[in-house]
Amino acid sequence: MISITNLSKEYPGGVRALVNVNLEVKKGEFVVLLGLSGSGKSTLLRCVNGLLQPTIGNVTVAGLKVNSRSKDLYKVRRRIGMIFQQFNLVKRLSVLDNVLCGRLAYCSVVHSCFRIFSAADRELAMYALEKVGLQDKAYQRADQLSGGQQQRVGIARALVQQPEVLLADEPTASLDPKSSRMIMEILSRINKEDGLTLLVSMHNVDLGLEYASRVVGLRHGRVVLDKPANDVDRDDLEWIYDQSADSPEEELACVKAS
Amino acid sequence: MLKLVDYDHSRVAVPPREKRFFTWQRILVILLMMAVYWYSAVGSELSFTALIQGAPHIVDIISRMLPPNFLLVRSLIKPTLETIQVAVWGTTLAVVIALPLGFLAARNVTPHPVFYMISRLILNAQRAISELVFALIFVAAVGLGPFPGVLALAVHSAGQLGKFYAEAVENIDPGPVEALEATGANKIQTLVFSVVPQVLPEFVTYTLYRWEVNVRAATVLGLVGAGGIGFELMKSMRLFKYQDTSMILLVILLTVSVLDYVSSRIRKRII
Repeated sequence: MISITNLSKEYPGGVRALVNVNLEVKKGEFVVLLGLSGSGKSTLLRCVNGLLQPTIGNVTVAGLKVNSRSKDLYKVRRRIGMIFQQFNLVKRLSVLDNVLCGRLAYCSVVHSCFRIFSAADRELAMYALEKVGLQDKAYQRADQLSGGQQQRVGIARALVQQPEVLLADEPTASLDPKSSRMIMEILSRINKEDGLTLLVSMHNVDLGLEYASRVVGLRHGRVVLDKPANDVDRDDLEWIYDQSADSPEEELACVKAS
Repeated sequence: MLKLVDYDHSRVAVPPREKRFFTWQRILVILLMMAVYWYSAVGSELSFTALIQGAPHIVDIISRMLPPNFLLVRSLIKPTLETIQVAVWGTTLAVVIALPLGFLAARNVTPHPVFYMISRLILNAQRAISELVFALIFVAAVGLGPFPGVLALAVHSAGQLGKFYAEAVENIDPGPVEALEATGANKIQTLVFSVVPQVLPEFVTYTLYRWEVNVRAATVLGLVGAGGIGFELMKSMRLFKYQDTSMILLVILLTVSVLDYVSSRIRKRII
């Protein structure tokens, strides 16, 4: 479903965020990306949907090549949903309008200039809100919702794209443990029931291992670990979080305490 | 909580100030500023004695202004309304000019750096030349009356509004923009759904504020023949009817205060 070959990304100024990454994600997999801050997780996700143009290398999603300079980029992008650490909702718009934003790539420009959506689109948006349990909040302003609810709106916005792939950039990092678990539950359900392929970067190792089918570890922009989630052990984690060997343990301790 | 009695005083020391208060640099700056002020005082013929000598004249004019000629009120209604009407259309046309320029002049949404530079250039030129100068030009072009005032306000305030708009657009949260790009929405759709909702309150605030400013500016424009209450003000002073002058000043004060209040109410409702 996602095929990444020989991918390297160098930022202006010479920072090498990704170094020769090769990754093949099959349909229906739930892949969790682990790694320290700055290890290249966000960069990798943004190369998958063309928010960043890689320096070298190729990405194809569902058989379509991702090229951020191509006119047809939107055709790939609308099949890839993305959710963000900071939710990235438009705060002054209603929840329903935020969700409908996920349909824009299927709408005519003239209609969307006047914020007109078809009845089918609105129905789909309500269905997506139902799926994340927020149908009664449809007409509230997005900034009136709690963090966990805002992230669920973010998921609904991605769902109305009717995507095959869902990318998530630390979706639980700004949430409390209860909301985090709820978000992971929803993601897991989407993965199982709708067969979406998930690529999720995370800091919360325990939570990630619990839901993932496969774990990919990044260090200094290189893939240093790629295993089924069940086979990941302490040594693997220490290898990913090498620089300070005690950091995953600290994190695990924190999670267990909560 | 950090208890002040707990810590070891011998280990904690406040590092000494790195610089003395009077450094050579600072003395130089102070001397330079004194020179600038003295030079400017000479250039602008600043004179305390002239002020003292002129004081009786000021008192004289004020005494001749009193009491204000309240009978004039009825004949002032029409010019006052005219001034407000000039400000309404001047501001509206300014918004029409400033909206496209403002978006083009915002670094994060401009389609190309060339558009950015050209629109910034236009906005700067509009802002650099005062509405009074524009009014003189337009009076010469379209004749006396309120219409040249409208054009003058439109051109000058478009420069200022456009710059404010551009800054508001540059200060938006880039997150929602990135999110919409990620869904496959095109640039126009991203603008409509993510940039516009974010900047709308600021745009409204700036525009209302500019409208207030334009009402005040429109009174001044009358002085160069662009209609409204300013024209009445100039007429009364030319004819030495100082009691009329004071009445007109009172009406201006009242109008501006009322409009300040109205626009602040509108602003509160919208945000």
